[in-house]
Amino acid sequence: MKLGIFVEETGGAGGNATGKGNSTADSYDRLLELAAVAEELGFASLWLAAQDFALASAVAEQSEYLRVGVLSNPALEHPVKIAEDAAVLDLLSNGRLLFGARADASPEELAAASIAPGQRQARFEEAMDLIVKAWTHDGFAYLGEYNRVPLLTKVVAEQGQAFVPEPVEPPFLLPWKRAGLPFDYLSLQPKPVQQPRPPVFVATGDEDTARWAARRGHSLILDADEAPASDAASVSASVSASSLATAYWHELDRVGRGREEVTLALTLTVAAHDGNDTSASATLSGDPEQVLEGIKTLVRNTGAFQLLCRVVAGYDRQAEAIRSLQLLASDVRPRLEM
Amino acid sequence: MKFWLGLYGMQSPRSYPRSLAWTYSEVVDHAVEAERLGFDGFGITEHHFWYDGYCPSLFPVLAAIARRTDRIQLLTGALLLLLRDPLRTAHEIAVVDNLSRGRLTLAMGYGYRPEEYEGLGLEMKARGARFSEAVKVLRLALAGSPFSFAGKYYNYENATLSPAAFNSPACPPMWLAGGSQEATARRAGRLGLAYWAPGPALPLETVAHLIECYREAWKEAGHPAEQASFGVATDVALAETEEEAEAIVNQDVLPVYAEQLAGFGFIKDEQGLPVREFPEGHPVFKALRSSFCVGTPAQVIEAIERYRALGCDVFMPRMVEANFRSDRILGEMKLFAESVMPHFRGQESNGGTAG
Repeated sequence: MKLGIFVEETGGAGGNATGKGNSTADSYDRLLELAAVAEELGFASLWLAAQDFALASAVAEQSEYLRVGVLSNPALEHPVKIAEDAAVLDLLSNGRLLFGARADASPEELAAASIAPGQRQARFEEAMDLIVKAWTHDGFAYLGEYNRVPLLTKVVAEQGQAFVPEPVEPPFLLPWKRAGLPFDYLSLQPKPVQQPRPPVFVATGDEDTARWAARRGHSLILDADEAPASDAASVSASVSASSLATAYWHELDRVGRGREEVTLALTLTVAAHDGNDTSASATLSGDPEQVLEGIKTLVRNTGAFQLLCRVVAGYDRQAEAIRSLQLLASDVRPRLEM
Repeated sequence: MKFWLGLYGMQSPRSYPRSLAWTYSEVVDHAVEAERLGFDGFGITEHHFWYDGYCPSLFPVLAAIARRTDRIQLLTGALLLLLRDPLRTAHEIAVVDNLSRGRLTLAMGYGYRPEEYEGLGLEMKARGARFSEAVKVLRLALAGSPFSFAGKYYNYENATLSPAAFNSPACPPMWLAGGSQEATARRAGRLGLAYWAPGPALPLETVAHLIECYREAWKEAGHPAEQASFGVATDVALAETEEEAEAIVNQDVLPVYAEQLAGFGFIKDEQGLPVREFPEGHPVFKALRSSFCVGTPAQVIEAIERYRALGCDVFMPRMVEANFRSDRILGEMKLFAESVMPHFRGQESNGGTAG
């Protein structure tokens, strides 16, 4: 059982004017302090909940062994740009990238990206396939319903049918070819360090998406914070997390993929403390004994391999967050055998 | 005059193949060394879909450099602004600006390679007009207050950037990195941006003319005259002796240029086909050579003085084309900092080296 850290909010109001240690720059310093502590304590990974490759790069620069996870938004952003950013981060971290992809999106996010809600799932799946293809092929073209790379395609409309895009050779290739230059189509550059590609984690609360991830052989991140626990010792996987996990494992079996190919990770707000609980907002909070029992229940209900501990950080909570990580590392993790 | 070292592309060209992971660890080390040597800034450069691994993504690299340095200005040289949504770019800018506590400077260009546009799903039409709009969006967004923008190409309603720029409501300094077009120089002046005249293969008279266009447009737009500023980036091959400097050009710089020019398809023959071979003595090298600053410290000082005479505020020596040889680049950096920069520092009223 691996323990990682999942950082939701880096806080800070922006600008440097507040002068109370609560500026964005200060909150980044606190995040990077957490990264250093996490590495020191032997945590496996630090995940950023937002698509923020630059901040993740700072985490990588701050550490040497910690794996760096980023949850990108392939349904909302240009997939080629995501593939490039991720490859550069994999190079900067010398192969420590964990590539996460958030499949779900809020109505506000979809509206801001001018995407019809009904297209979200299809766009997500297309974008993911495109990203993997771009990483793993020397030259590539992708022709989907929403993504055409390169842009230039001939759109053929047949009577009574939807527009059908057909690939045409982009004009920029013609002089290359006539001059004998050795290029066919575009090559996404640079390629990631990890070959054939970095590990891919799909984060979702949707069963169909979980099954799709299983068919593609992608790992899965589920949110175990969904159902609030009444008390620490009896925390159980939220109904949705355990039923999603079941759907995922079944689909893997159905398509004949081995469970060892993938990882199932859970995100959960955890606060381990010395018996002086102030973190009422944590889903699982208690002394190490209580936290251990809670995690064991979760693992039983989901078959998870990894727990990504959502850290409740903030400029007045940093000491608490660090203490929790210390207890997780010293008193909980050694007793989590799998 | 300030000295900003550049421009690293994290490439592995055929004339000097190497591990790309190494190039990314090297660029951070070189930035640290540049800061130690007293350079004022450090710049990296972007291209997409290029065979030698050319870096397509500047902000993660600058974020890593920001963590290892304290004083040096970090330069995007150039950020291809039109290849992305400006509001999303503003977010990346704000993250690196905060990570570096306000040390980010944005040099931004249009981009000129059709495959980069097509590969990112964009048409190349109306680049100038789109650029002007995108700059306005960046300025509104980075200030940190809620904003709306209704343009011909970009539209936002009640958007707020979080986090804002480190010094918000002030934005990071912005430059327009322009080609050899007068219209681009004028646009920089109109928009109130600093102007970066790229050096390679551009004769000094052309640079002087572009600066003139820039200043004219700046004045016409009513910006305060003393705030207009321009920079030049050009290749430097520096050594203790002239022979050594010539050797750097011949052994290191020109082979890389030949390969890059062939690959980028810049140079066309009479039939309009890209030239693949650049034998010694090819006319393209003449223009290139005359734009380089080559030689001993005294000779390089003399070459840079020509740009200072035009009023150049920032000079960007590019040593990284020296066939990507780390040892040679580090040696040239040190010699430049110790033997060339003091000449110019001495002539400044405060003699300062502030970034």
